[in-house]
Amino acid sequence: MRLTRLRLRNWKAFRSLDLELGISGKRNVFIIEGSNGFGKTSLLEAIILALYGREGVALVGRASSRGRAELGYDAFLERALHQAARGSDASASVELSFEGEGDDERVTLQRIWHFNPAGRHRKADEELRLWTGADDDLVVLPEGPEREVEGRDFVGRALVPARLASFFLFDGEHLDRLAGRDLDQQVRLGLEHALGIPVLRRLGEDLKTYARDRRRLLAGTAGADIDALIDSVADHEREQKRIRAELEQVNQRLVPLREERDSIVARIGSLHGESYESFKLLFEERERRARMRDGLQDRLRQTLSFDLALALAGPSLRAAAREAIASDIALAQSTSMRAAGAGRYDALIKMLSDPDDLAEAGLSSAQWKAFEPRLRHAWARVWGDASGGGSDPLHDHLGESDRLLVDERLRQIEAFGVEAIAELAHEAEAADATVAGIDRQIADQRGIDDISQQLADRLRETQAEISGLEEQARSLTRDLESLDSELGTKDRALAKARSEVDADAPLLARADRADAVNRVLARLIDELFPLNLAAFAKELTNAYTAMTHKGAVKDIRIDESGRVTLLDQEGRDLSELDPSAGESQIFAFALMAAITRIAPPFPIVLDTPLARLDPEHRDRVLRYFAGLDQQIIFLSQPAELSERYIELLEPHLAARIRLEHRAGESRPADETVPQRRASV
Amino acid sequence: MTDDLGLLNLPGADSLVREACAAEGLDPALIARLVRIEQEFAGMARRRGIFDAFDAALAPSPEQPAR
Repeated sequence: MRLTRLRLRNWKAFRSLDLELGISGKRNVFIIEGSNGFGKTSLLEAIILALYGREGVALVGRASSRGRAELGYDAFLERALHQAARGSDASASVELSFEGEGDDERVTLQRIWHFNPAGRHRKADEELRLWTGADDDLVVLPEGPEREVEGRDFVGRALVPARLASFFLFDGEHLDRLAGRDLDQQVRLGLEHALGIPVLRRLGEDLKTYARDRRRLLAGTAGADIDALIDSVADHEREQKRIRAELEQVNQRLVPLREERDSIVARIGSLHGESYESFKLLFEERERRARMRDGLQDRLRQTLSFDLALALAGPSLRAAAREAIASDIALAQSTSMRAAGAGRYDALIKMLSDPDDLAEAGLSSAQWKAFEPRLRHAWARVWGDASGGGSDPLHDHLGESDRLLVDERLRQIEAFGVEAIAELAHEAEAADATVAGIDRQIADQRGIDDISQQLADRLRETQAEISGLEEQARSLTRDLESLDSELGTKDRALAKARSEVDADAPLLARADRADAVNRVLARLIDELFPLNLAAFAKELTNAYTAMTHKGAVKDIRIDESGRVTLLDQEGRDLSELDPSAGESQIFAFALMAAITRIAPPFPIVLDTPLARLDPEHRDRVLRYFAGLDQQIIFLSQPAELSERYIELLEPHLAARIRLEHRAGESRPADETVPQRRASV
Repeated sequence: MTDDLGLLNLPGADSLVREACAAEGLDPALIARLVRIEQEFAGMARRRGIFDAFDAALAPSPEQPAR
């Protein structure tokens, strides 16, 4: 889309303005120049606020800076009303016309703000009108608050959404703010906004609060209990994810080390000719024994951590625990059976107590009433005697499968004594001694010459590093197993807590769905964010290398965490070098340019953006932007774009418009308007 | 998905949204509906009504039982 016409009425210094900005062929650059106070920035502000209304105020530097963001929109508009229009009912308006490639790709947007005689903005009367298509058909918008929402959606679809506007419509101040951040922050922030991630994050936060709020409405403390369990499960899952990532890293580090070890072994073998085979066999034997030793040590560690206390508890205590567990199992079964029986009993009584059936059986109601309690008692005995009923299970926190697992563990431990632990310790020690013995044999085979000696030393270092990492991997795996087990317990407790709030099921179901959506959103952000990084990094590299004159950076890479690396010709990382203010600004320019390349085509409006740049950087920035295939509007001071730069832009220049200010009003200077290209 | 949310318009986004929603037993249209609600309330200083809007969107329909 291109901005083809801009009309203002009573807007800031412009009593009335009608600018046509047509493009001819490759002439895509417009320069609107004027001294300070002549209205350049007012044009940028008019475009932003016409497009986005109240939502756009955050993009208007003069409305949101100095901590005035909250009251910005109305106060800003009241200041924007032209002086001559004040003192009576008045209005200000901005009208923007856009055209795309096709005849029907036309959009005109008009926003009108009304003010009372005191100059106050009449919020409720704000108007937004939209026309589209080859015949400028009016877009029908609903009345009331929906109007702004529908209007915003339309602008987002047909032109550019507000979240991307700051990459197309910006001033030097915005550029400075962006350049002031470090590279990683700039890229992360830029990309996240370009992709709309903050909206998803905010939705996730709102859904989390919503789910919590809805669970708080559950009867009793069930909601708080479920919340606590959900938080705990989430913490465990985060930890699980972190450990998995760490384990993955360790495994990745092991791959090249193992390759290096194999390569060293092969080289040592090649130096010793026929002895290579025996050396290789010896080394492989050492590896096999080391794995056995590690396995034994793991078993010993696990035994000491988990089983020793049970073994030392003694058979009578273990037997008592098994009895209690068995009693809990029986009680749970009995409770479950009684619950099932009670349901069936009600159905049975309903069938039997039909007055016609009773009469047919020769029973009176009084007889039935006297008999029914005896029947109930007998029924209860059939479905499980209530003698144990009323007492609570000892291990109420355990589910049925947990109880069976505990019982099985206690049963196994009977076959396990202190002697078995001692035997395991002895085996582990013996395995360690065997490995040490083979290490000595390997050491005996080296030392024939310096090269062998160096290789053997390197082999030992590599092997030590591998062993360290393998130990780390085992430790992480153990942590994972332990977390898995804890997570299983929490999940079961959560399921149990949920099953107890059946009465409030719809409320809980909505909270659960909110949590489920939140998990989907987190996954989408995690997995989709990296998808575009390579393509984006390429656009960033193209823009940056085209705009910077040092030429040191040849490639820009962005990893999945958003970390930026600037690489030189030799692949060295230059990111840590302190860039000058101008270089930071060039990177910010490149970032914005790269985002506009992956976003829908829309005019780029730059308000006095070149102040910090040296002449060569200015030259390059202008060439880069002028070379893009989209409309570029430079709002500039006369000193910013000297004749040298105007000449440089000449092949792309569609029009150069000079603003002047006379008698309290800004307008295009008479002599400059005809300077627009004849085709405009 | 949503017209102006870049992340959900990336290549591969649709299939991932479908897969992630299927794993959670959700209708993918629910995500779009909630994003729209969030956007509608984005410019408002008072967001009191957003929970009511969530209530309506998250109410389980007969053909879409909650997990």
